[in-house]
Amino acid sequence: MAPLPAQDVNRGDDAAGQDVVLGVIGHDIHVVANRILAIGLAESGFRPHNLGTSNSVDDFVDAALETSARAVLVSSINGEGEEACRGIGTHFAAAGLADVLLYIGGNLVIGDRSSDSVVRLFASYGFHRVFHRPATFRPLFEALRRDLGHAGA
Amino acid sequence: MPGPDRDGCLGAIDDERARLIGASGSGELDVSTARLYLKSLPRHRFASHAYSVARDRPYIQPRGGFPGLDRQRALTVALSEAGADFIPLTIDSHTRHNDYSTASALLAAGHEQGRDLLNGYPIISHGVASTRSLFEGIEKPVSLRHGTPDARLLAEFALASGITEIEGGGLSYTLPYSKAFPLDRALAHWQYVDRLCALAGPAGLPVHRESFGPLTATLVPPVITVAVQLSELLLAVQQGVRSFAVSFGQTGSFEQDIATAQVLREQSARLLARFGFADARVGLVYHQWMGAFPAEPSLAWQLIAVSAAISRLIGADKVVIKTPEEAVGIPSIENNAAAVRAVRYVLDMLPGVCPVTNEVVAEERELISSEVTHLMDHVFSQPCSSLLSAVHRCVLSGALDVPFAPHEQNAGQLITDRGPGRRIRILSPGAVPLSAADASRERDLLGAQGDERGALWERLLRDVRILA
Repeated sequence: MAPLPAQDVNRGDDAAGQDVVLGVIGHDIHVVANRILAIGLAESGFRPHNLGTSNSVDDFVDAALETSARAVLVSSINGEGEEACRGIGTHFAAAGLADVLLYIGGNLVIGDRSSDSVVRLFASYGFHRVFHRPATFRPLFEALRRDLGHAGA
Repeated sequence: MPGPDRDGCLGAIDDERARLIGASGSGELDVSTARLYLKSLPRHRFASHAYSVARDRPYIQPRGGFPGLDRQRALTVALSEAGADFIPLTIDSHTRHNDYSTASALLAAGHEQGRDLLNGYPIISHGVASTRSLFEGIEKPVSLRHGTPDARLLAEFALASGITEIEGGGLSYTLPYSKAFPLDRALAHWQYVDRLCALAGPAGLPVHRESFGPLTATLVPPVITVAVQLSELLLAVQQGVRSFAVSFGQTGSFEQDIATAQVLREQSARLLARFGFADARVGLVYHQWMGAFPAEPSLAWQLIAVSAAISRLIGADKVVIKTPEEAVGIPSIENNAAAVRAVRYVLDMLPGVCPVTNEVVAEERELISSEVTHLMDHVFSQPCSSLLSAVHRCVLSGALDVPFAPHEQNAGQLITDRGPGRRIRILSPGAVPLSAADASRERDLLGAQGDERGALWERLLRDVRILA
């Protein structure tokens, strides 16, 4: 059987790609966007390490240590991130990972709050970029490419 | 593996039942409670009776579970009066994860605060006597709707409360609902539930089991849906279950819905006959669209109506319905009852419909059937001593791979896409054993490839909201 482009996408093993850790935080089983994000990262030339659902901050720290990823993408769909992500920047710094880029995206808080206040809240936890209720992953991929490019320069 | 025969049956399970019931601390039941209570019920309370009599339209099955007893009773009465044929009891997610103490604490706290802190009915917390009272005077079968990898105690309480239909299965209630519950344990616990159901009903009125075909309800290709249904059907009849329903969720393609229904019926009959279980009765259940719903009620009603029509056109025995508040959250009693009336109205509009077929349906049916035969032969050829081990092994190897399942033992290597006619196509089979001809047919039917269609992730992201 002829190899399919999607099989490469699926493995995401483009050696030239940069390692990126992704996963859903909290007791949150929403897996669909997480899986699509992993496929999109691979399609966009990154090498995703997907932790799937129901992770703690420590799981993300461990994965970043294991993979030497320079970026960690945390997602939260059920609003649990507001509690679970508190102090994430400090955790990463304590593990010697202060230079790892921390992104968060999803449906980040319960109820309607202004996007600015949500961004400020999660920035105060130590996230470098915050994507609250994004319609698409395109801005995320662009930012990641830019940030990782700068970090590597 | 040897064919799944009744040698694989657990036999007497009263010792394990006594330990489990004893450990629960419930003073309300022992190993004979369910059997004696079920024996006292009229036959109209039995799902297996409903499936055994002729009908001219699919039965209507709503969902619904509130934490408090009074509201659940009000819902039960309202659904019954609206014309529901099956009454639901939907369980909260703490109980589903066997965290009964949290369920009880949140039930009490919610009662104090005058608001709901649970997303369903905590049956273990309420107990058997209260749960029985929900259905007093309701001469209809009650169906347990949940999503529980270890449903042993839940099933004990349900049967002792007069519930005669248990939804779920070791695959269908684990892979889409849990990240870490070990699959082999879940399969073994569902053997217990199947065996319990086989033993609890009175003669001629067995407890009915239903599998959960929608799985993740996200681009699941028919071959996976059907293979999971057939596996759970065989695992159940092996334990002595005599009344079972296979099910699937609306795919988004009318032709694929018809073809999937036909293949489910044909393959169920073929395998039951092949393995000597011809005495088991198999029904077909259709789930209205399980993906994201439109928030606008006027659109949601259209989706419900079209789904209802499809359930009739594919010859389903039962349709599990949605409500116009699906996009918002748990529906009100009034909304849920209104959905029952609406579905009934649509079903009555299509009396005596003949089976629908055309070239596309025939092509889909042939392809799905070929894929299913190939995959099930792969399951049966595993070097395992039992069907349970073979099924377990096939999940670990990725031969049975459910797209978008959160479970860590699910391979997640199968990639699907939507092709012409919104039909679900296999883009990359991963470790699912498709024949070369079927894999190539899937790709041909998908049509244009690669760059012509844009990024896969963008198509998948759009697809999640295709009917929203």
